Amino acid sequence: MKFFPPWTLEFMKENTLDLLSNLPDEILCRIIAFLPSESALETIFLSTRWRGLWNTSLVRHGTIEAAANAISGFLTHFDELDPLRQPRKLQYHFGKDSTLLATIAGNNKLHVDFSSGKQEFPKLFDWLLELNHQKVTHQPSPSTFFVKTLYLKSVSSLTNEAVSSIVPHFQFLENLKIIECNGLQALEIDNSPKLKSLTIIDCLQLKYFHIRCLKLRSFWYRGLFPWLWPEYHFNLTDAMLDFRQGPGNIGFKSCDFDPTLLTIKNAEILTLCKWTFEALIWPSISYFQSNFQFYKLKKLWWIDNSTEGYNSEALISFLKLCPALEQLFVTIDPKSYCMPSTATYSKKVTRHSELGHLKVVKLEGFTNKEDEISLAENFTKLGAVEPLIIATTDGICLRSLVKAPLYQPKQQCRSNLERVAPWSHDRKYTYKFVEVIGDINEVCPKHAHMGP
Amino acid sequence: MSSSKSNKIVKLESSDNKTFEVEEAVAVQSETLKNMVDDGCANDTIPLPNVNGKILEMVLGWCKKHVDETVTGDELNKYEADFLDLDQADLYGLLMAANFLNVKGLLDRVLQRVADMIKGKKPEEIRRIFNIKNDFTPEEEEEIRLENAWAFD
Repeated sequence: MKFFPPWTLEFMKENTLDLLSNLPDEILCRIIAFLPSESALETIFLSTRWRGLWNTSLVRHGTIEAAANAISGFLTHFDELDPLRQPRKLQYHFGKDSTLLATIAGNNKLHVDFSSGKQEFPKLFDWLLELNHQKVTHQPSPSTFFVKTLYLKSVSSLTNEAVSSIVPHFQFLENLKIIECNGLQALEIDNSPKLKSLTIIDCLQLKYFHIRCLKLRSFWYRGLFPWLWPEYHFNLTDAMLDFRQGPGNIGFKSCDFDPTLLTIKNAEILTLCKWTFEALIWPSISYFQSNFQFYKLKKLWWIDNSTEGYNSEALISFLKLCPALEQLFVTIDPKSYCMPSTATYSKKVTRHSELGHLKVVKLEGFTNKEDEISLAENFTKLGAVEPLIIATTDGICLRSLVKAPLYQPKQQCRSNLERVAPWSHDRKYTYKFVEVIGDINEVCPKHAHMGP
Repeated sequence: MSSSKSNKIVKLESSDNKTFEVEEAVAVQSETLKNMVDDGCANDTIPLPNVNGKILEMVLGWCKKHVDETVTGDELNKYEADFLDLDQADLYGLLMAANFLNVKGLLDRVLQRVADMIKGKKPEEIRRIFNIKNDFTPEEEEEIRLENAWAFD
């Protein structure tokens, strides 16, 4: 390597060269082996050269019945400490033209994706997923890679049995995510003593869901509201019940929801749709109002639809059950399921505490500015300290609620961004929203269940 | 016939024709050189066409330090830390040399040093530090992000 003085062209050229990427593959892979797993995979974004290091796949062919063995073998050879020594992806071709793609990631994650290949109209199927490895009769594979988090995507009637045969081998499974399984209409998950978190996303034909778990702490569900049966009780700290697509079964009764209600009673983080509260929760607890509280709930995401003139009664009634609430996110989704509200919220409630801990409120998707202001004003009265109230319509432009004294000479509203709330005679101030400049994530936190 | 190892000298020639003479005990810190010595190929000057003089001097300095029994543990640690305070060109030269010569401990230290420069940084910052050109289209970047979102959860 020649040395060039700093004032020469050669020096400048050398110092803008990407010397690192010129090192041989083997050395780059060894450098990556020294990175913690969070940083290691991020190198995939550096350039096409670096992506190439990560994208070697092992390609295998066989029958669907043999897929479980292929996956086991693939896992056994993977070296967590040297993640590029063996391919992190397995492409397994089976049947006529079906493929499963199994990918390993740091922190003991395995992602199994059946979505490539032809998707004919999905045949409906029921799925019993037994996680309890003690019931496994054939000998477990000597896997040295311990899967703790498993993603199962696009499992169908043709592949669910193969998946069922491999899952019990993951004796250390803690987090299970089932995504976009078309045709899945009934799911039964049998107990695993280690399972802590369960996520079911967009399985759009799912109508019956039977859970037999004891230690579940986190449950995220998005899709039609199924017939939900938690056979054993568990206490969730984190529950996302995104049933905004409405019920999948007619004829459900609110008492059917009671076992589920008990699982979310102690939740600290919750996502709930207004219709779920009105139809499934309120009827059950309206008898017990003074005794039933979501007394640990700190962060709530409330999904509402918009009808003419926003009616905040349901939300306010729910908030009265949440004495510890710190953050509230309200989203208006016009596509969200709505049922004609027959609930009456009796004003004679009840012993409720002030929302003394409410610090942040974020309103999203309101198209009617008067409704937005009037709802925001409600929040200013709920506790001793006024919370920070942010509104946005498009998710990008933020507005913050401020108090404005009434002594100002009457001014025209300068832009659409400011609307002045109707004021009453005995008030010396009024509320309005003013635009806020800043990174949305710095100004206002995000609810954990909201996607990126 | 055989002289004791500690007296034998090994001669090395770098790619830019500089010669270095070191005791065998120092040279065999390199597994590659050790194999040559054991195979009896080390009697003449050993040419090292892929290591330049500056780097070879550094490597031999490292080896000498690690053979020197008068050096304390603390001194050695400080030496190693200062040793790696190099600019990128030298660092990679050292990396290639340590890999080729297979010097115990040195290669790992240099790999770790480079990894430390990458660790915890966002891709944009890493690209800036190392002058890596982002040759992805925005669509490709988005595709990778979507494909791997689960792995970053």
